[in-house]
Amino acid sequence: MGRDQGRLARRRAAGTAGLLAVPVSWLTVLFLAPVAMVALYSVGVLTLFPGDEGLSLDGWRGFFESSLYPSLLWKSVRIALVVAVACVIVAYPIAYALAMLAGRRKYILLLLIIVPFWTSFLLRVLAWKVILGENGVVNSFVFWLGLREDGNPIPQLIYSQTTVVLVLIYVWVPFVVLPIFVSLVSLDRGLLEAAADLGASRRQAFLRVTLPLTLPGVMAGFAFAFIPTIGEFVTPALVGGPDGFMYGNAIANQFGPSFDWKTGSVLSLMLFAAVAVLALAFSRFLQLRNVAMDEG
Amino acid sequence: MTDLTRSQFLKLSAYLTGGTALGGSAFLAGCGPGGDDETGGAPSKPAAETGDLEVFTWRGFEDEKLWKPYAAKYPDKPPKFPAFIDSDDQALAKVRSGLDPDVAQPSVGHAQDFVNIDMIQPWDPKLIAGYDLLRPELLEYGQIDGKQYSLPTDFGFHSPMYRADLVEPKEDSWGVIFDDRFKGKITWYDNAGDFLMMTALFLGIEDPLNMSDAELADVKKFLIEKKKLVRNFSSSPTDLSADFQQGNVVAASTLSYVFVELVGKGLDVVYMQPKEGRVAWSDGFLLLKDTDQYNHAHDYVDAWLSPESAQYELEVFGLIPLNSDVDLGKLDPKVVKGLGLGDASASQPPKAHFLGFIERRSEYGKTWDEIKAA
Repeated sequence: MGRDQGRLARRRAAGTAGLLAVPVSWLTVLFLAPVAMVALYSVGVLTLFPGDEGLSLDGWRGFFESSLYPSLLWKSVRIALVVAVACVIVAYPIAYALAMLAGRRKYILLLLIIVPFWTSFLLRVLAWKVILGENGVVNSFVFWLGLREDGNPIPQLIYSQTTVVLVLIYVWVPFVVLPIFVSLVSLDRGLLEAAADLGASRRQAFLRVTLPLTLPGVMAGFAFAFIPTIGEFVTPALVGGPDGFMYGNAIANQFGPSFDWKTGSVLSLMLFAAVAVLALAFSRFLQLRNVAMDEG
Repeated sequence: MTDLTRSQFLKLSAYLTGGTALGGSAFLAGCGPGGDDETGGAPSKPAAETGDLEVFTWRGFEDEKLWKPYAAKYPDKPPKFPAFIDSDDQALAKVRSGLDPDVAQPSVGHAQDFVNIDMIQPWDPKLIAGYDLLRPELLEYGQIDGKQYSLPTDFGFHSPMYRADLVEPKEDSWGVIFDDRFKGKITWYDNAGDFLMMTALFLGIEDPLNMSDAELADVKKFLIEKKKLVRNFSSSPTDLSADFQQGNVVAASTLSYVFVELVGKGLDVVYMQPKEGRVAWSDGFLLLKDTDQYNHAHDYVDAWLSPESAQYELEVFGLIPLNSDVDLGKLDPKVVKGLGLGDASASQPPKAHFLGFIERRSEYGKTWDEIKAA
């Protein structure tokens, strides 16, 4: 009996180890090892050019003494906050309409929202240049309405920080819709009926039942938009203009034309640390256990 | 100058313009070997070269018309193109991390990087038929410690360009891209080395490729003051071309092939010869150290420099070949004048200053970041 139990336990342990082997290997080879390599580049143990090796904290000292990079990181955090909050504000009504009002068509409509993601990210960003350019769709319409003189386009519509924010909101909204939609679909409608039976208005039921119970979805959506936006560099490079420069662009410059992999690695690790801290903070709000209970 | 959009642009313009650019070269066929041991230092040649010749070049440069004599000589062994260069830094990173071509074609100014990682060897000028006919100042540009590590294949300029129908510069100077009158209609080229060099020329800094901290600080201060004039930072020739055509931009630091393209489209643009001098750049072939295609690599490069290839490169890609004997007959006179073709001094100081290896590029990069973030 005891021997059987031991055998069973060993078999279970082996099964668990087997199941874990793939994700652990994946994480080790494609995440931990590269991060370790970046860390080694940041202290000069690994270098782009042979002969330059030598343990040094110059890169790290340079970051903390720099008047540029910490403030640039903070600028990217601010932009990411604006984008993520705006995404949630836009995405929630869409998700609500799909989950609560669209009936059986909700999955088809959800698919339609996701359709733009079948095209390339670059193409979607570039399309905004056509829409927002001096002779683009928006300005042409404004000229046609006579709201502005022809040849006098709306300032800051293209090549500005505002453009970056606008395009990023467009890019991430569908990603934010998805977790909120899942939260709303899994919401127990009986709770809303109970609220109504107890005399709550639709507004009260929304504010005191629906919204609190879908907050994990909201926070997940927020994180989906916030985290990739902090490190963004493609969108600012394409539509950012003179004031759209972000932290991700500085990293790209250091690994690119500056050939300064040490500084680039320090900047990357600081971004990683910032995202990790913020992700931990989000995870407290996410309350994964609650999500599991909701869906269970 | 050397980015993805540039390569796409070259490819696109090749097919769109159909060839209106420059002239041809008179590369004497069958001429004897040139060069000497001082510029070569050829290693021993392999007796037999099996396998493929692999070339790492810009997208668009795989076009067979650029290496037709090689194809004729080796019909059963066309070169392979295992990857394409998107930018010089990416080219170095790929070779450093294991891409193993026989020949690579990044910008000449980056040859020193490949020497520093000990990945290339010098060319043997004796194996390149028309070596002696190439522009000596360009060949010298590709030499490191007297050896021909990079063999320039073509060159171009970075110069101020403006819409002559919309603006009138005060003088022929880089100052046109810092002129307050054109606020919101100026694009600056988005590359630390290139743009800081242009600005340094304008500010009269003696050695723009080797600026001190104080000089970099002066450049930074000046550019931050002038940044309010800028509509956009861009290194995309496609964007710049479209902006000039739409009148969104009236003055910019521009690559020569953008000028050639816009002239082809009938736009009234002037490619300025600034009094401070233009910035010039060049692509160049590198011979990888571990190549087992030593002779084939030389034959391939020789084919690239042949008269017919040079003619094609000029007319279709708008890049200036090294051969100084250029037939300008087929070209738009505006292009001939704008690029200073036929003027041997146009590619030499004080009219042009070639972008070279920037020892302090990390500092240049950080300065550029500070300017852009300001």
